[in-house]
Amino acid sequence: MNRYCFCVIKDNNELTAEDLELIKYQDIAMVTSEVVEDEILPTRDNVIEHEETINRIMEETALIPMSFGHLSDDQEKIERFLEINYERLVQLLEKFADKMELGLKIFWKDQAFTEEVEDQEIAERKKELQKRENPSQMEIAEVGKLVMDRAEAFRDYYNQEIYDKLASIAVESSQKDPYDPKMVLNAVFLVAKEEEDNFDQLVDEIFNKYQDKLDFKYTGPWPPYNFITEEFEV
Amino acid sequence: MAIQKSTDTDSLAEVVDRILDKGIVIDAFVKVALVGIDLLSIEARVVIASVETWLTYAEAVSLTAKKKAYSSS
Repeated sequence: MNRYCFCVIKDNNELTAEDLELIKYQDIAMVTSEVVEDEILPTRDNVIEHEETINRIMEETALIPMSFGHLSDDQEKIERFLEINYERLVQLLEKFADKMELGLKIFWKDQAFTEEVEDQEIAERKKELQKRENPSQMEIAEVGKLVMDRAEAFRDYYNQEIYDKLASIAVESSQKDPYDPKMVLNAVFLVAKEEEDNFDQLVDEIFNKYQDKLDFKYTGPWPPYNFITEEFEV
Repeated sequence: MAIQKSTDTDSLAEVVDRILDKGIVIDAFVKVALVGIDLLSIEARVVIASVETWLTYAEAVSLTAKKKAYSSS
């Protein structure tokens, strides 16, 4: 029998879910469930079960989420992991107590992207290439680079207008690289519960200011996945 | 109009983006079957070379390159 590992919690309250079992070391514990498989497939159902289980536990207590797909056939190995990393885990649990991760992704609407990013130089070079029968990929890529530089300049601007303001009320925050040319911002914030309403309100103000130009995807509360940068050993 | 946050799991990409490579990772415990990972290959894991990146930006202004194999010549 294998044990699937969901997250690490402080062992001061029993969880309400009956199918979960705590593997304890001192005052911390790994939340696990029994599984028969030796490997976990990252299917939609499995991924969602991992996330929903952790989200439920998050409503009851502070936790450190495990990445997807951690199994062990040996309870002692899990205890050993808790033992070796005990101090760091306790520090993280303290850091995450009464906090949540919130995600904000912002994209240009198509028309706003054209208006803001596609300046005269880009428009002219684009026209020129479109007239030609068979422009080379390198020529197209060169225009693409201009577009990227211009998008970057606008991202810097929106960073100051949006990210910096939100970061100022978050405990911690970080940005990830945009994965789409029309992405303005890809950010995550660690926010104290007591600041949640203020944060929501500020996002709403920003949304109202820019909703004609930008699309917002505001998500959470998530377990603090993006704020675990430490590496762990067994 | 007000914006509200959510964790709707119909936004699978949001979940996958977090749980597949964030959180505590213990190498010895990871038992993810790699079959099927393509189904979930998402933004965050894609590493693209600069030229390809620029081409995606060219595409964003409706300038598309004809599909062909890359060559250094």
